[in-house]
Amino acid sequence: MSNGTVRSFPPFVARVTRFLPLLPLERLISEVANRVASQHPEFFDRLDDYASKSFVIVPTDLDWVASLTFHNEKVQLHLARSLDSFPNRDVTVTAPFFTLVSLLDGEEDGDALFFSRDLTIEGDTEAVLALRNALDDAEIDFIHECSAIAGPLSRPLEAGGKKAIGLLKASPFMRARQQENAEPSMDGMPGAYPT
Amino acid sequence: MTQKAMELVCPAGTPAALRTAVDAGADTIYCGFRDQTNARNFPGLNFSRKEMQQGIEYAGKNGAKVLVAVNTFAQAGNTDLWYKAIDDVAASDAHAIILADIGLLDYAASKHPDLRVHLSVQAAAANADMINYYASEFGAKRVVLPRVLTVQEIAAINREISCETEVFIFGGLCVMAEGRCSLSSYCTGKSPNINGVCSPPGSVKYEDHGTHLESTLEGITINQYPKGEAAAYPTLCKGRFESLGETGYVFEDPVSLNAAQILPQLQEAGVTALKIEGRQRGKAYMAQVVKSFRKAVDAVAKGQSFDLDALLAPLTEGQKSTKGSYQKTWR
Amino acid sequence: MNTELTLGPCLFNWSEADWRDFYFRMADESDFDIIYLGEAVCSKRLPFRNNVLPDILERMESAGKTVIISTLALVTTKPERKVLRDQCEQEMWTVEANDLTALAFLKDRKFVIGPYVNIYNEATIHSLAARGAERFVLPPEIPAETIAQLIKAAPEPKYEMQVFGRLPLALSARCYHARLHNLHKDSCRFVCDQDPDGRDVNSLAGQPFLAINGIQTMSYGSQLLLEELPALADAGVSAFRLSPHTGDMLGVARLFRAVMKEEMDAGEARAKIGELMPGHSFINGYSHGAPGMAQIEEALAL
Repeated sequence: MSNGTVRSFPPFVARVTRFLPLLPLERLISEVANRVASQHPEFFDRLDDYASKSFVIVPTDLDWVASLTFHNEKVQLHLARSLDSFPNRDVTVTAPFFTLVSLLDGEEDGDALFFSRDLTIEGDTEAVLALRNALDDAEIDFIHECSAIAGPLSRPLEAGGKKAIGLLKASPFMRARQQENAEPSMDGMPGAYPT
Repeated sequence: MTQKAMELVCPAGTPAALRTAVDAGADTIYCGFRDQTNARNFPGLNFSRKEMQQGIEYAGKNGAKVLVAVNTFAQAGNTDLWYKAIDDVAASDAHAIILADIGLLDYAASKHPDLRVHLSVQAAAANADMINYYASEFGAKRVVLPRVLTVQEIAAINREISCETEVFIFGGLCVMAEGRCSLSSYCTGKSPNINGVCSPPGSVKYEDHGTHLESTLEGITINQYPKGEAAAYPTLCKGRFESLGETGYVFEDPVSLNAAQILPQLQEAGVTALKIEGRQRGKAYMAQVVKSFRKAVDAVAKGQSFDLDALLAPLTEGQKSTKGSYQKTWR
Repeated sequence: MNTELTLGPCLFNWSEADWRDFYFRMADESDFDIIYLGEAVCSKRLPFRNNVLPDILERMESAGKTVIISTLALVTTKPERKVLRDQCEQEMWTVEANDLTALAFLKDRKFVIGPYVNIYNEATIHSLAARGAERFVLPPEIPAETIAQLIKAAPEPKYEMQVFGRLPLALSARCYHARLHNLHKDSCRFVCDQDPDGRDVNSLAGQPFLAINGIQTMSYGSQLLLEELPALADAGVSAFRLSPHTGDMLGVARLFRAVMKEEMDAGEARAKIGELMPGHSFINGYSHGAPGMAQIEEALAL
């Protein structure tokens, strides 16, 4: 669960990732995503009509943005340096990288982040909720899936990856941004939806 | 002295959430079909017929029960969708169906007399006369009480009725009498009773105005958050408004219900089951809530003293909660 | 149009004298086919109503008016249940049931289902008609198209809908008037009497939005259906209800009657009602299947 602290990469990480070649990264993530998707056909049922939308993800602490589409039960991922590369997006989700990852694997309760300023949404709110609910049902273990690609090395890679991320999240190296409001009354909301 | 523990009734918006709630110790899970027959008709939520059957099987194997909510009001000229939902629940191994609409209660009672019926909170049965009427006329075995009653009133009701009562203990809080609120449709055209949604996400917009963030619903400003203040979902009745120069939360602060502190009183009042709201919440969050309440409810049944604050701290941290109508001063 | 014009119960906390004078005038001067009388919103106002109710009923009787007793919409406490039982068990007047609790007391009686009961489909109509309901006042949020469907599927009972006045939208255990005055409901000092047409609630951006009336939340806008009346009558709505406000209700009733008799054009009546009720901002969204707060200019086609 969220402890009310959102962690971001320090700026130099963004400067480093600026030099990452996008194409191999795009291929890698696409492969992972489609592997996961093939194991969760119900994911697309759950997305329903929203599978035709185009989702753009903006990690605020990195130097690239991602566009995701789910046409014809295929995950299509494109990376770019700027939002301008995706003029036809239906929705834009903006948050620090690890917030996005924890949303993906259901570790965080999305609702708390969803409507606080740690995560902002522009465009089709319904589509984001459909995606979030579909992801929550799919039970995706992000590190596990990424590691699986490594074949025989997957197990140690997964264990190591999880440990590294745990350490990274807890380390002073990450820039913590405490919720600034001293009086957290808004946080008591039941979440994304009313009753 | 050990009493029978109150039944812990937990929400599930997806099959994964159902499994999570069962594993976390829920006695009973409630969920709905993926259409407008249930009052959490949100994008990406709820169960297909097949998923429902699988969920019921999973719960059954682990000693838990499933309740299926068909708790919206059937649409004129299209009642077959609701009848079909009732028929499908009757044919399944679900423990009971949760209904609100008189016409549907009548249908269930006449077509499926063996189907166990719970009266939804949407039916707003707020006194013993009405509950007894529903029990005798439509065979309701349990009533989910609306969130307008004090603990004393709940105890009084239980003394006067023969069926079971279920009360909300945690989660979203309706300020208005449930099932009798048209604020959402007044603003957006979509209502809980007709469409199964309140303040629907499609009508929501957030706009950053530099000095403040503004949330709107169909163009109506529901709240303005000064810089640094966390924003919430613009639920109509929990917005900031102005009236004759007074500005603030006219209807209710953006709080959620937490009746943990009064679990012993609820047990004393004769309540059979405790309901957690939130079919739309993520499963990780829900697992925490269910685990905490499992411990609390069992401790209450055994008459043990325990530190509820510590038990529920992870859930309430940084949150503002209220005992709602259970304490009279709320009114 | 072969339709009735009715006067719904006054929803606001008018003083005893104002309340009495208003209904005396309605008894003496109005030509409503039915007048609904009684406190539907708050049980705490009941003693004041009961002080003058016998005089009003007598006046209505001698004026030959048809009266229906309106009952509480939210019934929880023992005294409220007792009041409701007494209202239902008297045999002089028909009762408008605004909470289904009344059904428990209305066995073997004919009654009216008020706008606070959830009537959305023919199954519910059939179920309640079998238990004695012979007239249904439709909840405000139902679109006219659904109303047409509903009446087509269950044509026997009479259907009534509100065509003038602020719309009732929600009820709560909590009193908002008391809350705004930093009081509890139990010691509310009846502050809702300061706003005889409800207290406006605006958004922080200054948009007029809602109104509060004790435990009730209402629309800021005032329903005004005039152009829609012929289509609604064709669909089977047999009675049009005006909800009391301060101001010239007799004048408003005369204009509605003129439109219903096709003696006046709807547009002309709209302009005149606007002059009689200058504080009202008119809406018609619900009947057009739009948000209730909207004012739709296109004609209603059913």
